[in-house]
Amino acid sequence: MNSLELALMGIKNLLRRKARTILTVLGVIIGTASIVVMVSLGLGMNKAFEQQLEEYGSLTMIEVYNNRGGYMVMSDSGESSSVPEGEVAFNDETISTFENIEHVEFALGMKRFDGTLYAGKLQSWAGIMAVDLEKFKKLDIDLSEGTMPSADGVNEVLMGFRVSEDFYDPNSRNPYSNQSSVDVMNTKLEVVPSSSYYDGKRPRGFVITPTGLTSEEDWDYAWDIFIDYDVFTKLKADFDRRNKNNDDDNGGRKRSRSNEDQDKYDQMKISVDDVKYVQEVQEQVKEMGYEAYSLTDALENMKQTSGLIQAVLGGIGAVSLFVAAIGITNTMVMSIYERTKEIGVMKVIGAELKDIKRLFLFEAAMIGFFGGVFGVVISYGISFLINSVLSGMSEGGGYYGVGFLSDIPYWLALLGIAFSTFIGLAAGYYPAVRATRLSALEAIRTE
Amino acid sequence: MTKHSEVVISVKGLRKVYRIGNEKVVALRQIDLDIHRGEICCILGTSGSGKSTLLNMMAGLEKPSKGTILIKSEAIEKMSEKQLAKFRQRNIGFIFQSYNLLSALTAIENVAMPLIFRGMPKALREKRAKKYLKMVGLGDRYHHKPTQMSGGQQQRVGIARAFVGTPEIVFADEPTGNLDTKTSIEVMHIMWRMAREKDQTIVIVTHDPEVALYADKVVNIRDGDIQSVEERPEDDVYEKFIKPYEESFITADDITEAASAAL
Ligand SMILES: Nc1ncnc2c1ncn2[C@@H]1O[C@H](COP(=O)(O)OP(=O)(O)OP(=O)(O)O)[C@@H](O)[C@H]1O
Ligand SMILES: [Mg+2]
Repeated sequence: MNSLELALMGIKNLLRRKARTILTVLGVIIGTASIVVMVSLGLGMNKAFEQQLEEYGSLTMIEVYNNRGGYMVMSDSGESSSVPEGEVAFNDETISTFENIEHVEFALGMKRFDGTLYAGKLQSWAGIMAVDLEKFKKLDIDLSEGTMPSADGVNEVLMGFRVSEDFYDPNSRNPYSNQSSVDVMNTKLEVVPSSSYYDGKRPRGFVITPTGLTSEEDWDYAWDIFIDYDVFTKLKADFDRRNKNNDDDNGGRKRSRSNEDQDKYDQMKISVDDVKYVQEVQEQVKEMGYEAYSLTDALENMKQTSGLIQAVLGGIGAVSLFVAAIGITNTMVMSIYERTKEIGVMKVIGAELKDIKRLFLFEAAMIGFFGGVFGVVISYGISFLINSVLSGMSEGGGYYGVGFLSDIPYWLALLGIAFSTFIGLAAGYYPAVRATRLSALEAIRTE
Repeated sequence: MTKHSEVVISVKGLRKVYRIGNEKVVALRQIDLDIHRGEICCILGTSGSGKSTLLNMMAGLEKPSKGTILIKSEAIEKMSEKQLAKFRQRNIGFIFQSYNLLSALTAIENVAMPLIFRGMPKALREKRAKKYLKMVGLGDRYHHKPTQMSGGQQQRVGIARAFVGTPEIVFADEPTGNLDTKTSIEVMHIMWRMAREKDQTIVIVTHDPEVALYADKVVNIRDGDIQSVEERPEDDVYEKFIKPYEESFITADDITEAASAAL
């Protein structure tokens, strides 16, 4: 018997007992819908976490620190200047090592220098981040104004938006209590690449040209001034030469040449091509002996929590689908009682055992399938309702802004249908086997 | 009976004992019987004599307690359920006393059913089913459901269904049991015609003497034993009943009379 004929026969059988079929399907609909909605809430929660994290920074970024960095800076003793065995370098070679890891798009080295920023009478502490501008541009930083700097212009820099807000007048009576903002984009700014406080006469620094200001939404780059690494090191070397009598010492000059090479950077960012590889890359980086952090660490934690919640919610759904499965089995067993004679006749006039078995399995699977399809459709409806209610709440409070919403990706819909069909098949197995075991003779005799 | 040389069904030392609790019911004691190709064999006997039991075992619906049944030299009592189902599909047609048509299906769908199991394409099997419905005189009832037909019409659908797959053997358990005499005679005519056309073997269980008139071989059973076997010359039935009835030389009443005379 071919499958199409079997399917037609099965569908006819189901339609013959409409009321009961519909009621059984209804059970499956409720079961499927509850599982799908429950899982969708869990998924929505994950999605909300991700969105929230996205606001703190990019999820595909790994921050890398040299784990002996602190030790080097703190110690002034001679032994610190040589790199102890087993410790790792943090230079351009490191970058190419990172970039050779699978799924890494690029690695960016950064070094922070302390500096002071002067705008007319006002001044401010400033962190100066020396970076490779070519790669820095790829970071996808939101700007509220202007463009990204380049290495070609005259000391072009990108300003973190917070930098403009902490200026003070050192000559005022109470310099730190009334801080003022400066329109950094339109003011002449001079940088002294040293954090030492200069009483009276300050050394001459260099003028910088801000080309852009970071967006107030992006807190990752809010505090610093970003400048090209090579441009800055040259400026700093000039400055240090001009002020060599000064007792300003940031430690760098004491280091041996080789050590400076080892520690060209104090921080790196690794960009990974997809969130799902971030943990993997991060592990590899850690194995090389670096400290590595990424927002996916937090995400991982949150996912564990929401996984637990999902399991509980899914479990509730599973119970109702289990009840539905019992409903299917019950319906099919009833159907066998009703159709005993029919089954017997079919056997006598030439049905093979596998035909009978397949027929019953098909009918049960169809109940599962249609229950799944309508269940998923209804889930989308419920999901829509939940989302509109939650977003309605968020208009009032704002706290629920990200709130967890229900999210049904297409794979969940397909999985829901596949699962309920499978449940139908499993529930139909016992009745199907029973139908094949039925003695044809007994079956024909029943009236 | 020279023409029917090949033995299609061979029953040897067949015994069937039913056990109900501690009690034993011997339905068949010791049956030896050969049925040849193309024969119309009638198993005649009183109620409870074991006719149905014998037929069911020959059709592979029940297992014997002892003895063997060879159909086309294959011992069917040794076959598994699965093998039996396949064997029935290919070789056996069955006509029931209570018709047993599938009530949800039309005449044409009922007749086509055995062909579906064989995997015959729809167009072909509908053509086949129509042809057989025409042969049983229901050319105008293709799309009627069983409930919309009389008993005689339903049984004719049942006959078409049994013959549609051209099985070598058709078993019929009291096919005329629910029909009046005239209808019974018509049904027997149809069965006789169909069987002869393709040289098929029919085994009919009955206690209708009219039905027995159409048999080439009549096996009388009593209390689980064969009491006598009557064989008739090959053209006897045709000459005495089929031809005269079809040409309206005799009526159903004449046949009924002949039947009671034969008793
Ligand atoms: N399943 C069964 N269980 C127990 N006893 C049975 C069973 N089937 C038949 N018998 C017994 O076997 C004997 C023969 O029964 P069978 O049905 O073959 O008779 P029959 O000749 O067909 O009678 P009828 O003309 O009334 O149909 C009877 O005594 C019956 O009680
Ligand atoms: Mg009987």
